[in-house]
Amino acid sequence: MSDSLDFEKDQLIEVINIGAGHASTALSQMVDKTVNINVPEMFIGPVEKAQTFIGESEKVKTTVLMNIFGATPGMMFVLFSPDTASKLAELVVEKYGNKDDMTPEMEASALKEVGNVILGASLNALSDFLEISIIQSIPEIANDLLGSVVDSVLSEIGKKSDTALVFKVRFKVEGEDITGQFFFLFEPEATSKILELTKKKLDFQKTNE
Amino acid sequence: MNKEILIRMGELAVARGNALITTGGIGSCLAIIAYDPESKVGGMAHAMLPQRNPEPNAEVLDRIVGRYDKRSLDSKYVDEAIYKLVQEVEMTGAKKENLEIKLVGGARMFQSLSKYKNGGVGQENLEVAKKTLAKLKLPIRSQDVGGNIGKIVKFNLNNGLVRIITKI
Repeated sequence: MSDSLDFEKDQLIEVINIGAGHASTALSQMVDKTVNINVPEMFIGPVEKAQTFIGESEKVKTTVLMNIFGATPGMMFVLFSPDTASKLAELVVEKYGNKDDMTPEMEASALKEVGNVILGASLNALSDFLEISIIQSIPEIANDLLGSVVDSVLSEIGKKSDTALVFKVRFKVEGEDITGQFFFLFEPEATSKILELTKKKLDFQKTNE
Repeated sequence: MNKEILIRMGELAVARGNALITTGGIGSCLAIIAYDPESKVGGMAHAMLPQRNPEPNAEVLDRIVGRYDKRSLDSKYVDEAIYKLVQEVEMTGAKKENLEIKLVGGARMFQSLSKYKNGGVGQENLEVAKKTLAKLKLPIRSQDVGGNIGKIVKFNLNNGLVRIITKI
């Protein structure tokens, strides 16, 4: 039984890896620099314990969040330290205009766009790979205590399930002090849907070999 | 020196004097604080969701045995957290009639979450807290709830004062 669980875990991580790969490519194009990502880490357990997996609750972080609708409902967000967020916004704005004129509103808007592009890229990849339609909401940004941002997100999952499934992917922009994390949270029915679709896909590939 | 007790999501702590019960960042979660100034016994719960998802035969169970008799209370849920908090402070030496109740949290950090419900989980948490407290005839002494800003809560059991820290 643990073999099949491990297998499912590997499958899920592989699917997330495809999404994260596209997210990092998109980010890399936006800032004209190489972006490195880690292998996705997975948390599965009681919703209230997921907070520790996500990060330190008292630290202030910049979060760009998007909801996922369609066949695999859930949420995804990207986390930066506020310093990193400003630097990233500067890199993006610099490319298209003058960063010296940047107001806090412009910074927030640039970061939302960064979130939109990178999270959108990974959702597109997932949607292509699984051959399903996934719809994303417009991005929202919060600059606040990580704990308070995360509890709101986890409560949404908690309303539907006692167990949370969370994926974390760390990334780093090469040559810049810019690091952050992508997170993917899926509702329980989305998890089984992803597994089912992945299995179908693998079976199909096998029969066609 | 005050002993500092950190409670995470879904946890609850009770102490008598010389202690500081604190939370990490709270958003839509609700910190429920009860304090008896006479005995200096108090406690805080860090609840996450308004109430347990209804079980298939919950209504029947409620009618026959009363909702909170047969199941152990989980401080992850606002209603159960309040029952548990009151039970535990009473066991530690507080008198129910002395209890001062304070609420912090219940914010709405993202507009897009719970878009079909006004105020989202935070608001639901607050409503359930108010209902449960009314049922127990416990008046709310003060509160800092709603809005869209996260808070850190530090509850001092020497004097019952609650310090709220925001960082934006």
